Amino acid sequence: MHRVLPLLLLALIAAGCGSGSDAAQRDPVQNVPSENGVREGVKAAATPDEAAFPAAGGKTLQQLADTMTAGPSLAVASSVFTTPGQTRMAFGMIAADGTPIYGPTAIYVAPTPGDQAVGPFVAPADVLLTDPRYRSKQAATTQDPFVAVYAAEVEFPARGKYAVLATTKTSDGKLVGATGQVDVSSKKADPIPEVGSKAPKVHTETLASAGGDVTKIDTRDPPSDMHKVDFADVVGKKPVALLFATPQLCQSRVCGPVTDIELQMQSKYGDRMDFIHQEVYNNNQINDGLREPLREFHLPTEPWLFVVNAKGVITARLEGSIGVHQFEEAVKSGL
Amino acid sequence: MRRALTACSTAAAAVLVLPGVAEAHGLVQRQQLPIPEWLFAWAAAAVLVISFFALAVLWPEPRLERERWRPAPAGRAFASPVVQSVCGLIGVLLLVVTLLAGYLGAGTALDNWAPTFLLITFWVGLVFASILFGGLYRAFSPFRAIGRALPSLNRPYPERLGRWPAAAGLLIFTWIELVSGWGETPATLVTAALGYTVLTLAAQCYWGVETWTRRGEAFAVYFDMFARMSVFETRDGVLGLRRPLSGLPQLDRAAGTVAFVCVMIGTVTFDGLSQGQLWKDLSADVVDLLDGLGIGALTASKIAATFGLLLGVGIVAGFYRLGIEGARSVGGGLSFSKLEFGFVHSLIPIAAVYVAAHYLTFLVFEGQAVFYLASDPFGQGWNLFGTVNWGIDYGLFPQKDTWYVQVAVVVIGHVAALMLAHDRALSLYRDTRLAVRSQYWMLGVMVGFTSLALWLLAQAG
Repeated sequence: MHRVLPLLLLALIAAGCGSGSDAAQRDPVQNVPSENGVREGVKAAATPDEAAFPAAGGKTLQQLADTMTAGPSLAVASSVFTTPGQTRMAFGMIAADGTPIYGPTAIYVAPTPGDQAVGPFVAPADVLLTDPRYRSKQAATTQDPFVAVYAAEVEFPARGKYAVLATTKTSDGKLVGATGQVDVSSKKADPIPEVGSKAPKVHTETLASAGGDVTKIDTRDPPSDMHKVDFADVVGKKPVALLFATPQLCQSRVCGPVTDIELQMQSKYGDRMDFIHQEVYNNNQINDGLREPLREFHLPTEPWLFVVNAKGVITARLEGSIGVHQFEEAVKSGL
Repeated sequence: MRRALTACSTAAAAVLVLPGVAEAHGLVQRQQLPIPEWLFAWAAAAVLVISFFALAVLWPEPRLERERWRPAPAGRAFASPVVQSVCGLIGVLLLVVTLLAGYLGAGTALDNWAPTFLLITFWVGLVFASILFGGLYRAFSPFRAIGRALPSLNRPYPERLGRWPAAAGLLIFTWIELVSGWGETPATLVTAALGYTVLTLAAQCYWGVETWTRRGEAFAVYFDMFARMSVFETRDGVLGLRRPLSGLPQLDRAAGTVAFVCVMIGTVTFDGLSQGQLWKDLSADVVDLLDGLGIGALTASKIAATFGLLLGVGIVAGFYRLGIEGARSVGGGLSFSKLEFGFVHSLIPIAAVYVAAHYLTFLVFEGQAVFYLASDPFGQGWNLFGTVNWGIDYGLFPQKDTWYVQVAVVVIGHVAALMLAHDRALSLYRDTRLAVRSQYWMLGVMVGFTSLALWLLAQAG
């Protein structure tokens, strides 16, 4: 026993001098499987260089597209785009065989393919995989091949329909292109609370409001513990990360793991910020409509993340697929 | 490329990853069974009835009552004082690490060693380990190890207390686990563990380590019950072998034993019940009622769950009492007390299979967390065993097979209980026919417990 005590003392001292739980969390790219060069692809895709893509230089979107190899499909993973100012566009590049393509990526936009293109807007890839311990059963067992999502901050000149050209530089240096179309609305017409505005003081559901039955307010398996506080009680008093998501009803790797990412962030920043997960559908049934807090935020889709600082001002708002890095940057913006 | 751009043919692909609007991206539902659940219950009951009559015909005299213990090869070395001391030290080290982790580690249960270790590895894992390997807890008990190093007054233990303190301790622990929500707050959980440690050490100092271990230390009594099912037993410093289950008939008579076993089964019964819709609806009504009286909803839900926990224990106790009253009604002149204690050991395999059926997947899946938490028990960014980046492998056990394993475990446990009860009846009643008749009632109890177990599992989904 007298040999064990000094060891325990050492452990205590080490605990006192330790670096906190931050050190336990690693570069999210390390969570990407290394098979078939996927990790390397994501690593390269995480830091795209604008100079690696052709300048728009007065060319039309079509002219730019003609310089690229066709083949992949563009899968847009967010749906609300506004102007003026930057708006986040999340997307994936999918090869003909259904597998995602990872490499340095950027996008160009124009009202129609024949119009002058704007861009390139670089789109860093952001890993969707949390550290293993934070993965829900849904996320841990999904067969979804997506491990990262691209996100670009795009400036649309005006509202209306836009053609989008996304291009990825493959490992052999070729640019492959894919196209899509999005609707851009006026920022003024966007009813969803924006960055810089005061967050609506909505009541979110808590373990207490659910009568102690967490399964009523959390479809994650196992349920998370992010139902301790009501948003209305803490907003304006302490930084808050409020996530609207439904892990069970949207469990593809594109939107499923956001609750897991929030859990990972809570582990890292939980002493400085309250983390709230709000389920999306009444009775966890899609046909029963949206829960009240989503209606009060005017959310037409899910998932959505709002980060609110201690003054109650929204400092980040992210829609759709969100990776670990962007989630963390959003959290930091509210601290 | 022109065609691709002009046609915007990839719009369809975009739909694949658009944020959810009004469609499900895939619902995980309970595995559809090839035959309905009620048919499993009938089949299980049929197995018990057939087993009952097979026992009546093929098992005419007591077999398990006779002890057949023999030393195992190297049995003395396995149970030597050195090995005992090392095991005790490991137990103490684990207790200290767990207490420290609760206070120093992460504030969330997910990242803290203490809740996972206490509520999964220790509480559930040690049940399986005890059934397989015998008195492991006795060897590793930190309380026993520390107690032996402390002075003791060795005051006479009041016989009327019997195992009641252990029953109360077990009920409180299960309340902490299932009702309190303290498991979500590591510091609170280990404060309770620390309180239990202090109480246990004080009781050991007063009544003696061995006396308190046999009677009042809730975990020692709990795991000893399961260890009695094992083929391994240590006697007088020698590890030996015996028939499976044969340690159960040797259970010594003490007040509170029946209550203890009822708590063992009743609390798991409540845990199963609480996951089903029936309890959720009932609990919601109670919460609404109490909420209307000004009690907070969360407190109200805990009051409802406390009531449910006691109800679970009460149902099991009532069920057992019914079986004993029935057995007494067949004659033989045996007192209720003699019969009540006489058959209580036969309920322990039922307690074991209730734990196994309800918590096997919990142990197999969530229990894996202990491996990555062990590498950094205090949340300091360590990686002591190189496992800190491990996760939970949900493919370790095929989920589609869970129900079949649960049903098999429940049936095996209840057949074992029937065997024990039959064996005891043969030794209690001089008349074989009377013994078999008394067991009609125990058969009813066993079929009832089997149906209850399967119904609870079906409720939990």
